[in-house]
Amino acid sequence: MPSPSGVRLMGLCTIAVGAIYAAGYLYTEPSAQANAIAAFSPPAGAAPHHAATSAKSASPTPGPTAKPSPHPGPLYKDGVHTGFASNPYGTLSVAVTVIRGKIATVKITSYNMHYPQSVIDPQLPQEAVAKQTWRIYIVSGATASTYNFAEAVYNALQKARA
Amino acid sequence: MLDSPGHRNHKLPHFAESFLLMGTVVTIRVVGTAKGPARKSIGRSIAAMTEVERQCSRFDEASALRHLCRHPGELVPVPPALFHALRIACEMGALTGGVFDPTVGRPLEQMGFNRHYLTQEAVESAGAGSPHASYRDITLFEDTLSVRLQQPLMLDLGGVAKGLAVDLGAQALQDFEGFAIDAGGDVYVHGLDPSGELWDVGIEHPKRPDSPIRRLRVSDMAVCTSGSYKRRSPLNPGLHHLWNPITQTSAQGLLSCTVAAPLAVLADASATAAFLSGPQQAMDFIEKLGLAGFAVTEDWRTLETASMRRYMR
Repeated sequence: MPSPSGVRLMGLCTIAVGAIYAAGYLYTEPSAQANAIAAFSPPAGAAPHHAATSAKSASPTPGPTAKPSPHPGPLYKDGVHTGFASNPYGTLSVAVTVIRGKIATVKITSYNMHYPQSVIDPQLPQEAVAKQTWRIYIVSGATASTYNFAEAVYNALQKARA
Repeated sequence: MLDSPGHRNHKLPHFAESFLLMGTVVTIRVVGTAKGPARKSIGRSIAAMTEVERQCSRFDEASALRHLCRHPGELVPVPPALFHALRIACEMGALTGGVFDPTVGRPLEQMGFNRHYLTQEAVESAGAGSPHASYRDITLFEDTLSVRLQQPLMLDLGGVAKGLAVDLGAQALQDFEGFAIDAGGDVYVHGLDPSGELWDVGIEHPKRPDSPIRRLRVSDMAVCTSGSYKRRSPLNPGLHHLWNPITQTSAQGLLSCTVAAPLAVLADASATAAFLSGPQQAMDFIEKLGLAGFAVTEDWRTLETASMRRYMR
């Protein structure tokens, strides 16, 4: 049985989740083109009650002062952008080519992982091109490489942000 | 860490996506649904986790946490996730006699834990922080969701914010037959897994990330692990990110400590606090909270509470 302090702590945690959930504004519907990249930055066209803790805000007091900042132009700059990622299993580099604002190709330029490259290449690069994002589905049995790939593409796309 | 589902017999439709968030890879797996509704709910779940991170991050200059730290001595209104994260952290501070403390941002910066995981930009908080600051310098005003820091300090919500983010991410997925959120050390599972059984949650081996040291069968449960092997100080490899402000060094004696609890924030904070308490007290501490615990010591012994055994396979 939990001690009184355990009961109290459990209560505080339950209240926290309930109160934050009840505040509501956390759950902004992702817009049509939204992907996890949009989720990293101040939300594009977010719901009207999003907290005003957006970047560059001089006084991020909470309140319904959302500033929708839709992306008018292309998301990415044209060119070849490189990205790198490492984890306990090894390192991996990618080159992301952007043509007319869209991801045209994703190439694994260096691969030094414990897994054979064939486990993730060419499936993952093809998927990144098809979906125009670094959001990648897990490859069973090669999750660490997959993560690395996603991180490397993400790093490349950060450089490519228009 | 969740068991890779590759080898199991899948009866139910399921769908998974991975994201970079909170300095780790977050994987959300949803069971018993078509891809369309799953993607939408996963999007909302990720949005919620991202917002908690945006409020509570020490590494993001624009976060509500950094804003609060720039205004010591003032009454600062804060968004609810930051307020409640601080309240849980202060409660844990009181429960552990200050061994767990959310004001350890400054020593962590000095150890080199000062870079944003995506941008690699260094945190610039020069001068922020009295060496004598503790959780007692945080005054919380519940009526107005405001906070006053009684002296200059740098907050760090490691051990609370990620768990809280997972709990709020889980709220967006409640309608599904089953789901799992795996946020690098913090796992929450609900309902059934794709094979129609309880979820298989592995506890990572501190030395061999590909083969779990224990496997648990659980549902509607968070399993969180704090480990010293995860993040070493880039300036001093003998130090890690679990800082004990009482002893003024990183916690000794354990390699990892795991807690299973009904909420991820409770499991995360308790695992971190138990780790900091050290091998002598960790299991007692977890048991007194009414939770289940497991730990690996630096000399490779394993510790567990009686309540943890019934989850083990």
